[in-house]
Amino acid sequence: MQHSSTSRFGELSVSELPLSVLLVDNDECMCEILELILNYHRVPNYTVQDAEAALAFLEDNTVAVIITELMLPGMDGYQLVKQVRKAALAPAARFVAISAFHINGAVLEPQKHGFDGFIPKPFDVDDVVPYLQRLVSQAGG
Amino acid sequence: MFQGWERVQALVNQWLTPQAAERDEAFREGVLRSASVIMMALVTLSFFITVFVFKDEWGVLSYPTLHLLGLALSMAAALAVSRHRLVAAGLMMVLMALIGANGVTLLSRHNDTVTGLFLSVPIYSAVPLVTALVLPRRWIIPASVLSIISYSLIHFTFPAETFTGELLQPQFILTTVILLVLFQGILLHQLRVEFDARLLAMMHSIVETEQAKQQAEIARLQAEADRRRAEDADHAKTEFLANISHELRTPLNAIIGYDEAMLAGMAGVFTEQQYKLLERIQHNSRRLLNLINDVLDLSKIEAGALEVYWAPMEPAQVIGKTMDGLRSLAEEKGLSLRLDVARSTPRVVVSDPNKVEQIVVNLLGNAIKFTDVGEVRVKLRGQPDSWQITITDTGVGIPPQALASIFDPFQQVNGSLKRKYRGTGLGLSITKQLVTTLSGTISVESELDKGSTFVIVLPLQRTPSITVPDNEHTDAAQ
Repeated sequence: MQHSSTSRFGELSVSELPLSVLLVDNDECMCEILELILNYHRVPNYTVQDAEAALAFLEDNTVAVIITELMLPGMDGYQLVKQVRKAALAPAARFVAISAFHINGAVLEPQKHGFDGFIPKPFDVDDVVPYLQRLVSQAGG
Repeated sequence: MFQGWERVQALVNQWLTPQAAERDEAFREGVLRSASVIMMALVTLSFFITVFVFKDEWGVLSYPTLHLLGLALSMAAALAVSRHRLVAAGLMMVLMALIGANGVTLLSRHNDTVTGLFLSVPIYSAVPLVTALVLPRRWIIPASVLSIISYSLIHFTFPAETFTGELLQPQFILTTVILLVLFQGILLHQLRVEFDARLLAMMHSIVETEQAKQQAEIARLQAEADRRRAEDADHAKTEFLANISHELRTPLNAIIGYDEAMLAGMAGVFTEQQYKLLERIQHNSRRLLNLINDVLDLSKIEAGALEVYWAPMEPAQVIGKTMDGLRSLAEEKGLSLRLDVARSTPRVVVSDPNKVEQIVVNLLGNAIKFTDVGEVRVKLRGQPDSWQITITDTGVGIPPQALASIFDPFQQVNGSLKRKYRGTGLGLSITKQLVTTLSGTISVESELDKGSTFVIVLPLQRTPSITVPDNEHTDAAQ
């Protein structure tokens, strides 16, 4: 399990709300890029490669946002959300799908599958953290 | 000698082969051809027996005269058959039987024997049989009635009691009975042959019908299997394209992501020269990504994988939502994005919302890309049997010489414009194909430096798609 919460680069954090992220993606490059972004904004983040590891992580930890790739080896992103919701592992967490499969940046109704948001690949690096903050503040308000 | 016999056989076969095409006529003709020859032979033989063996006296009413009459009638029948006068020939054969029966009776009376009593009855009763074999069906009953009448006339006019004289002359009976039995045997044999042949033909035709049915069923199953195979192949192609798409995009997305993160200063600070190069990487990766997406979209369309899912949709709602997704893009460039919905716009139409959305995204994306100042406006309106989307921008416009081929694949405006606004050149081609699959038309008007207007006309209801051959791509633009 990759584990990283230190900010290596950048001075400022735009984060005002307590934002923390669990990232589930078997694409190591994509994990590394999201880590760069989240570390830059001093957002605590944790990375796992598959759904089983994510479930194990959530047994002991809690995060504000879970970002998961839809296509994962073994259990896929849709199943992961279903499992987490069913087991109430992270009742306050927001779920964000991330995928390269989309039509002009929109995936068909992520809400239908239990997601709160969607990030298309490729994404704009500047948009990720503000988007997550919006999601979390919506949840809070 | 041997050759001579073969020639005789050939001649006999030729004579016995019916010429008529119609089945019933051919049957009668066959019987008449063989019967007339047999009668000629038998009557001639019988004539010689009468004249030389029994040494009958010659007279108007005598056995030799009767035989000559029979010979004449059978020869006439043969002549009539050879000229395809089948009814005439048949009538002659029936007449021969009647004359034979009456003649034998009268001759017996004349000779004061009872021979006629025994002889005539089988000949009278042969009349209907002969008729059945040599004449059309409608003649059978009249000929039978005629036979009964002549039998009655002769026998009631000259009752048997009036016979005074001589005993039975068996020799006469012998010849005549042999002749009659032989003749009847041959005729019945022919009748059976014909009957069996017709039954066989019927059975054959039943079997053939059954086989044809089976073959049709096999062909139907074959076509069904072919169709399913084609569907499977189509499905496999779509799946393959989706996989390829994913495989190509994953590393490219990583490149774009790393590069963006570096550009955003998330991986430390670079020199100005380095930022410039990172920007080049960014620009080219994005371009490659668009190209991959477009090529895959296009090949999907050309593989026929893009099926239309007709459904009721609200144009204003679908297009409004699509525009919301692009609003940030327009605002980034300081452009206003407006939607005008005319009162004539139908509230609900039957179309494919996803395809309509894709069309609008493609055209709006272009409009925003090629416009630096001003606005992009989308207008909706209805017509009696169609509805219309008009997308107008105040952008760079399209030169007149490029308008004609703007919807062709890989056509983009040349020169300085191309360097500034990069794209794959597939977007409009895809858009046109999407419009065509929705049974609609697309056209464009443009003025350089003033802007462009794209008009899409779509049907209100589901209509069969009109396939547009490749060489007609430019029609809508002209």
